[in-house]
Amino acid sequence: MRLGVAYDVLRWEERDLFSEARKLGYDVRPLYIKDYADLVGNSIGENLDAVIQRGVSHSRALISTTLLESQGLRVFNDSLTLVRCENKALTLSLLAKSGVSIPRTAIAFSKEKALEIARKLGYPVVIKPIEGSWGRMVAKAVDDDSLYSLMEYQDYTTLQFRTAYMVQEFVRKPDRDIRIFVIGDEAPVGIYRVNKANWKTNTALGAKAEPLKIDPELRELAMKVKDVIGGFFLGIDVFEDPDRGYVVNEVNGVPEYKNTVRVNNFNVSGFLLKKLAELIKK
Amino acid sequence: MDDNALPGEVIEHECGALLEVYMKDGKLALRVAEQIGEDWGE
Repeated sequence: MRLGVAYDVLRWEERDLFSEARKLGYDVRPLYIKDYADLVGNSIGENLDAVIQRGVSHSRALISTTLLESQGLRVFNDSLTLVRCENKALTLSLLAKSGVSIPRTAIAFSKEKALEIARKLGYPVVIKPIEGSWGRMVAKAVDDDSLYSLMEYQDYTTLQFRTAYMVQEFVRKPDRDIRIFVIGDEAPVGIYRVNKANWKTNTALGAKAEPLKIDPELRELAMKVKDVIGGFFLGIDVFEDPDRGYVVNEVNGVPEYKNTVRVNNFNVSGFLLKKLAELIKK
Repeated sequence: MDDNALPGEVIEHECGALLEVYMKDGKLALRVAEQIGEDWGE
């Protein structure tokens, strides 16, 4: 298989993909998107069966994917999946419409309406950017005063969707959440992300990864999310709500997996590459 | 720079600066690494 890996920052995952692809005998081409510039529709001159998108910058990942797709290349994940993942309002809307349990979430376009709906949700609430990652700017508001201040801070950022306030219930999860991976038509591996010191359970913020026991309900949920969002390789974040059970919080379209490999001794890159080859052959 | 360096790799210089590898005129070169962006993540 002739495989491109599009990336902008070379992390452990991209190096691992190159290494595993070579072990499998694939012809792998690194595509460093930061130094890429071409006319829309122009061929990059590579005859590739597939491209894996690994851009860490959401905008570069999305736009480079659309450019590669304009050349007729198959990119995983595709541009529509990336949009559905990166915009949390879109992700949660699609999931809710399909009956997937999500945290009670409101979007307001004025501070007054945001305060009104936060009172209905009940404090504390969580305010987060519509697009964001690694727990950045995700904050807990305990009353009207703190929520108003956090919205004011959001107003003065350069966030694309800064005038839309996303307010969520504070889910009373245990000191952990779940990251489960969908690769092709399977959900083979995942981790608990445990943080006893902070309610935010992003590994980027110090949560500890532990191996995940995947039960049939969780596996079925992951595959349902994949049916709704699309894509080939997803990292799905799930809360364990004491009353409702599994609640899907977000879906990642370019997931990181170094910690998942480390604690599970599971070769995510190898599995992904084999599943991709199966798909391309079909 | 390591022999197996690739564009996009971030290297910490002994002065503490973060540098990234990129291609310049067909050869690997170093420039000051980009700061983590608002749209970076998974």
